[in-house]
Amino acid sequence: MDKNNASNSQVKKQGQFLQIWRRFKRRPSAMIGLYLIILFILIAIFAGVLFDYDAIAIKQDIANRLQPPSWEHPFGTDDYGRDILARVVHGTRISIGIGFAAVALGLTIGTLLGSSVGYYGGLYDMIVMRIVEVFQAIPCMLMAMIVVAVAGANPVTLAIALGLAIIPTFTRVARGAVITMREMEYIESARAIGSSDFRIIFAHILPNCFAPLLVQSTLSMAVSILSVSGLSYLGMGISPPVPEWGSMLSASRIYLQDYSYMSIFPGVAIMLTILALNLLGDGIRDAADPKLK
Amino acid sequence: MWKFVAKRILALIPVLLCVTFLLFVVLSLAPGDPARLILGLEATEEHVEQKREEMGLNDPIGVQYARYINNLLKGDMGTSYKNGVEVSKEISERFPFTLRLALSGICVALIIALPLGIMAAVKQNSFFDSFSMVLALLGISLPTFWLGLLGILLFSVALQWLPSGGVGGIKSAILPVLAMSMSCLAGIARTTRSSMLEVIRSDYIRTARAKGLGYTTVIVRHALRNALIPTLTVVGLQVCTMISATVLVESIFSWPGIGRLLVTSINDRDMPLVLGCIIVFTVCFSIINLTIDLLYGVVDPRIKAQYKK
Repeated sequence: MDKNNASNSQVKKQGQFLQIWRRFKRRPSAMIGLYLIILFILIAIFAGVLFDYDAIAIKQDIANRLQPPSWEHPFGTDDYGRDILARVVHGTRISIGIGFAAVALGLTIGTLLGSSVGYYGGLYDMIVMRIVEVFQAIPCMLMAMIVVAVAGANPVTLAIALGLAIIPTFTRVARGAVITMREMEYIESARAIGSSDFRIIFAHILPNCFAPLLVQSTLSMAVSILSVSGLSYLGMGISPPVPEWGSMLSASRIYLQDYSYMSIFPGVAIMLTILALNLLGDGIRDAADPKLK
Repeated sequence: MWKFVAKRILALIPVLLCVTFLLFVVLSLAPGDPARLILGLEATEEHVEQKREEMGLNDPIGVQYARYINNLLKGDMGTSYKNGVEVSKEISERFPFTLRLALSGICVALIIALPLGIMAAVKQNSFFDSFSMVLALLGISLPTFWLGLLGILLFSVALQWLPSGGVGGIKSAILPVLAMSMSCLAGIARTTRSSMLEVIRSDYIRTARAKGLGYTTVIVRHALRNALIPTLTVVGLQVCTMISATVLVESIFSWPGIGRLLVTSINDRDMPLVLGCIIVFTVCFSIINLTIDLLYGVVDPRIKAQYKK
């Protein structure tokens, strides 16, 4: 009995984060997602070590153009004789980088906005949510297209455009989570002992909302990465010669007939990244809400 | 019910006004002088200035916007900077193509996704369940435009069954519709399955089974109705995403809809056309959201009761 109590209290002390992590660990698909994402992040960080950017990913080598996959060039070479593997590896940097930057922006502003309107409610809530509604009426991809058309396409404007486009989603998620927490007893007791609103929101409410926000982050990152490659495919995102997956696919289009390998590998890279993010998101969601499985 | 619809449509007006104002302001910040664009590089400075005055570009932005809205209400969305064609004419010519694509996409997605999700939930943990859910996971992870490319590679280049682009008969629509509806389909199937799973375990389903109703009846009549509520939310989101994917799909398959029009007009910096296309998209999304809200009422009498208030 005593022992039981002790272990119970220990479980409680572990906190929500550890509990979710323990359940997360048990799901193989979730762990595959996590490992894949870590792999992609490592590739993004060490892309320069693996392949020299200027000498391999950018420099044209016409003598070697359109070589099919071989031992020397595992993914083949493109129409300018550049190694496709090196370009896909450097493309990771752009996709993962813009994805992270966009989510960081959207998550920070969206959470601040959402938790404050959820906590205070009233007129403030109504006004902000109306504005959010206006922004949400334009989907992420179109919003990014407009911003890029006006501000020009480069990684920074793309990240800002996508970050702005996903703020509404985070605002909604944070607001919803805060509203369910707001009336809980422990918040009331925190208020009773005189905690400031700031402390209540940041120390008591937000840590309990991290799961839905994290899930939304993985989904939004997937959407951002898809949008970047989609925009680049249309020639509105990252433009050549910078190795971006979408623009590589776009360039491969005219060679579809005879050099189809060109349009395979960048697409596989996008798919694996998105797959990993989806697996991760599903894993966190199921681990945070165990009643479903 | 009709009162609710009317109210919702009225509530749309301020949102649309805000969206158009926002777009109007942002697009007016775009680099490049429209007057210069129309007259060409050789035109003298005085000419350009005269044209600017003529087009009202020197007026304050608020005045320009008011004029735009005023014209919009009369059905006039301005003329293209590029070729002087009326925007409303161009859009009404192109829109049916997009509509055809979008409606077929929605139908394909719903017809496949709903039964798939229900079957997977009913046979949870079976081979069919795991197999279809792995496919669905792949479906939401495949980028639309890559799927389109692969489709062309397989069916147009290798097998030569289907055309790789353009409009002509039903065959030309197969690849675009499939490419477009795939992620929508997969997303809906996943949600249908998980909301169905949640419902199947509830007590009232056990009661319905216990009183001797057949399994199919219980699933279709009792479980599905409740499972449809979260599914509807996702259907709305997915359909909106699918429609914005027309921008990609129409460009890949040279489909002459407004998605492709938007892309070319952004590349040409043809702002009246850009604005027109985006307004049409925004109206479409609003209509979808409204439809979904009304369908909630059809599915759930509790929500319908709220509408009556």
